[in-house]
Amino acid sequence: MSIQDDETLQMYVEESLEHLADIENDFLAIEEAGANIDEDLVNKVYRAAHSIKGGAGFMGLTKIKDLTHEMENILGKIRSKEMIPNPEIINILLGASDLLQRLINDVDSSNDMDISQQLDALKTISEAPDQEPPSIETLQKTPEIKDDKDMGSGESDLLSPGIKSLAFPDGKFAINVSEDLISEASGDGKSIYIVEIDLIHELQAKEKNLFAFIDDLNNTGSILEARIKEDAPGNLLEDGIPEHLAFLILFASILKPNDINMLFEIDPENIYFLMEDLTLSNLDEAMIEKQQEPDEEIIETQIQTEAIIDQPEVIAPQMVSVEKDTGPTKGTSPAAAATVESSLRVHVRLLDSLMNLAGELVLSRNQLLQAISSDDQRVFEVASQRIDMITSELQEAIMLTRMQPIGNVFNKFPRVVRDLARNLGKEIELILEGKEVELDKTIIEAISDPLTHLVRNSVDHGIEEPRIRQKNGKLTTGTVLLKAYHEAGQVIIEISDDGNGIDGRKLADSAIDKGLITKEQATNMTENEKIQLIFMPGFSTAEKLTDVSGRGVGMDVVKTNLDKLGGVVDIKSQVGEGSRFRIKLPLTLAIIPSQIIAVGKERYAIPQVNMEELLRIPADKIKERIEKVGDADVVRLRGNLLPLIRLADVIGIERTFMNHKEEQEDDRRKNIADRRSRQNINIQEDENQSDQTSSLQHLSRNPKDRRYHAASAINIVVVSNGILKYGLIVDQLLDSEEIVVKPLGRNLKHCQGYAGATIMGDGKVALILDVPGLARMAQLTSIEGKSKSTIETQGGAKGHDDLQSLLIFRNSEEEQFSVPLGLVSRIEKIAHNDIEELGSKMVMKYRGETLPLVCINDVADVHPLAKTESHLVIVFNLAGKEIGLLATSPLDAMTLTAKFDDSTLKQPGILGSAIINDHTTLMVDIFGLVEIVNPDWFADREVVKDSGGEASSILYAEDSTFFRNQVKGFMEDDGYKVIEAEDGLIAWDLLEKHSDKISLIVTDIEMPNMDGFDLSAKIKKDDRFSHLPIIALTTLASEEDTAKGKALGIDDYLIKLDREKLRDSIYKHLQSK
Amino acid sequence: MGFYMSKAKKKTKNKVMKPGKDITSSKAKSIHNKLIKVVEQKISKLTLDFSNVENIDAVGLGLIIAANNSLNRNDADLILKNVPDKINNLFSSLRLDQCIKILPA
Repeated sequence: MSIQDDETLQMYVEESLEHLADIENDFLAIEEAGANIDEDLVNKVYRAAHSIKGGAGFMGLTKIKDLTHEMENILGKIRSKEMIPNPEIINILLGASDLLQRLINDVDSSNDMDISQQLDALKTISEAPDQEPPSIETLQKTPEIKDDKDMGSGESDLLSPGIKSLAFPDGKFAINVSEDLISEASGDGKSIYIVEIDLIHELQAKEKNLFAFIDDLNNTGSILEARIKEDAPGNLLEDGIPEHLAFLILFASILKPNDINMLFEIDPENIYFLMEDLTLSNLDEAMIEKQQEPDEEIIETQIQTEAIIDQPEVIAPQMVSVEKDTGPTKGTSPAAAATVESSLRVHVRLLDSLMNLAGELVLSRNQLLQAISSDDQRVFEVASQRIDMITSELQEAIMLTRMQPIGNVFNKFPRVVRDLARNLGKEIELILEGKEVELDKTIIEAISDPLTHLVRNSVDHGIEEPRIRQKNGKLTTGTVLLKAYHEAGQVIIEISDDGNGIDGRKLADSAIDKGLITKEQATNMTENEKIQLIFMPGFSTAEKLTDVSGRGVGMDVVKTNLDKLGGVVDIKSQVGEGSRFRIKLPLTLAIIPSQIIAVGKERYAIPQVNMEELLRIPADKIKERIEKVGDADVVRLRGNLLPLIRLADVIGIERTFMNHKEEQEDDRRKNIADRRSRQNINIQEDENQSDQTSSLQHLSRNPKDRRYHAASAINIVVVSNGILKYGLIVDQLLDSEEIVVKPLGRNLKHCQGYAGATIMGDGKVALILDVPGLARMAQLTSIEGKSKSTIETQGGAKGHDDLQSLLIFRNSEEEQFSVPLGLVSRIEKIAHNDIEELGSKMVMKYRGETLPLVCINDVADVHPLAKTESHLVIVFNLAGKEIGLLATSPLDAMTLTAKFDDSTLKQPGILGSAIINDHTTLMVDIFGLVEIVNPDWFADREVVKDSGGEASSILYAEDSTFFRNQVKGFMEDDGYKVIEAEDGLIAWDLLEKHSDKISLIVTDIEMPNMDGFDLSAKIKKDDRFSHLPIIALTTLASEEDTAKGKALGIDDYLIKLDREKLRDSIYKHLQSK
Repeated sequence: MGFYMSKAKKKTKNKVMKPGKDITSSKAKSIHNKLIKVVEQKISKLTLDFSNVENIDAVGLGLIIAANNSLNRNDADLILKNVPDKINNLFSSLRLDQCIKILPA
């Protein structure tokens, strides 16, 4: 073999790979054209093969030469129309180009590879075009690399005495090995590792070939010993098809600890380094030690100019290592087509402009030095401006050198999709859009795997078979769309298909079966949240396993890889119509636009990719906008409740706020929304009594109270990682800046919540916040809080619809219940163990008191309360006492118009039913319920008699039959006479007719013809009736409405169905009359 | 005593299976089913003839080991014969030849 000097060879390899890069798509285009060949295209491919062949002959690469020669023959025949390029021929050509790529990638040992099968196949079709070409299967055999290393040497030695048992740092047994073997390996200057690798989970899931992996190991070292870890993969009968195959491999390698994981690509914690004293240490420690040795690694790049600035460092440290020359790692399978290139072609023009900028920088430096020595302020300013300008230009130019079109990745998909579709018997059209969109080289390389996975998933699981598509009225050919575009300084990549979509319910069921989530969690989830389950580790819904989509352990890998890149992925899917994966990526990992915020005396950066909006809640609105649900703070944002995290609390530093003099002061507020209104019983979880009692008094606030200063407004950064969205409360919002990302030091690597660090303009370090990490630290999950959406009804919703604000909940899986939201004091989540059963009664300890608990099934004939680990307690305040109703999730609050039926399902404890969200929903009669359980709670009250000595008559106006019957019942139970009216107008007529009898008016607000406000106004204006007390009943007790009602002279304003308050109010008003 | 003897005698049943080209995840289900059927019979030796096998992946490897585990538990052995070089190298690299008897092609 007469391989020329390295540089020439390297150039040849690069050139050949460039030729090969397009060849695949060209072959596919030739296939599509069929007999109607595009000569230019065939010529192009022919030339590519020809130049590879030419170089190979010159370099003495015989195998490459032979292979390209045969390919050339066939292409020649296609060009001269002697042969029609049918799919079989193209398959063989594609197979050959794959092999060629492998040969070129591993050019040094290419002459040792066995390529006879491909050669034969090519020869067969070129010599006898009429013959049936050989099947694809025979071509897919991997050529074997002749291995002259002694790989099995360990076995015989093991029998000799002097066997050493190695143990892990935690003392557990690791592996037995002969001491001779170890000393021999370390004598050769090799490092010895014990690697725990799960071949199924960590190799197959990443679509790596097992044989290629073993070849890689043997090429970079030798396996000294191996054993299956514990009893993975288990047993045929009990454990089914194995999901784990963990091996411990004792591996002696020429690779140093810094590089070893390039081979395995697993969690570095599973690689142990064998120290000289034959103890095992973690790889991290080993790396620190090795780094102290002066064998600094030089990052090899061909672009010399990159040396001008620091090699941009990326958030994920492992990405940096990708940039380094991978050295002896060879034989990567073509499937992992994202070959990591250590060199890059750059246009000379760009290099020239870099050179110019470097020149200008030198000049500016001279100017600056001069300014410093002469202490000339003016020159100083000019120089600094210039440096500022040059730096930005330089940054841009360097970025350009690293920018590559996403087409480099997209281009491999036509082949992937074609092959897969053929294998699966599907018809699929792939549409590529936005190939020209450019991204940083590091991202381009790292995005390839996740994208491949998603595209494969779309083809395998998304698009249905033609037969099924036809049955569903779709075109037999499915479409997969791959699209890249810029949006707000980021790059969006979308993978969408018109297949059968993702069924959230199935995912949830499968997740429950696998024990990934509990049934309870699943019922709490929205459809979208269920779909996101696909990203959970160890998830697969494929009913039949195919080798295409692996074993379903991949989607979590996709998510992890994207997280590392600072990317955000989200899914939209409609069953039967298709799915869309949307990936949001930063343009580069080295310099990212960020929002700088401050907490306490520290500054932090939040990557803009994670940021959705900034929210500033003025001091006087805090009370309205921020609430507490359970023990979590939430903010009301456009009809949704957004969970809040106080950054200072999560990372454990002192909060501050800016007082009106722009000074920093410590913030001592315990709750974000320190609400002190007496209406709000849900103030805080403080145990101390005094707080509670004081909270019940309506305190007039000191006008100097800092919450009324603009400076004490709350600043919220709304952040999201695609799945989880929350608000981060910070002390100050500062500028948005482009920051240079520096990885965190090794000692800080385990700190959750930080993605890196950056150096600010003043030289101080600011940490970059990790949005998903913070959510984990605050124990925020996407399940909680989000299901509580509210439809805000504005005070002006004055239609005649019977709007109800209801709290919807369940008692068991089967039945849905509701209570008027206005009656609910608050909702708590408790563990089942917190419930104490005393005799037949249930209670719980709550804020130092005993809270009686009831279940709907105590009274009504409904399914018993579901046995779950935790329950919801809906707390009501009745007759001055509190009582908790046990319920289960999901919980929802809605304002809606529903038709209530008060006959069919009426029973003790249940007022009636309505259809809400397609479910029959039972309206709970909380008073009836409590009265049956605790009859003594509601003392009998004597009926107020009218002047004639008879029970007083009440005029009651209400348009809803359901409520009319209910409330009328309450009043009649108390002994009053009730005159009903169906709207305000009728009520007025009745009032005129029975003016002598009626002593009180109870009215609904929303009614047709004449509403409660108009009726009240009319009554109060009429001298005959103005003395009559008016009680308004409503479901919408907004402050605005209450104020309006009071202004009109309405005497009391009550929530519908709050029987106890109504009784009190009637009694009070009749008495005082 | 005689009872035990006869029971032991009954167990000397050998079985040979000849898997197809691929022992991979795509075929895992059917291979698993076939293996289970065989393992459930009281046999003393299962021979897998690898002469048709061209490819094996991690899941396939897992199946073979799981089969070996199941058989060993029933005091039975697993033997692989006619194992192609490529696959034999894989087994010996991972030292699986120490727990499964392998006869190369």
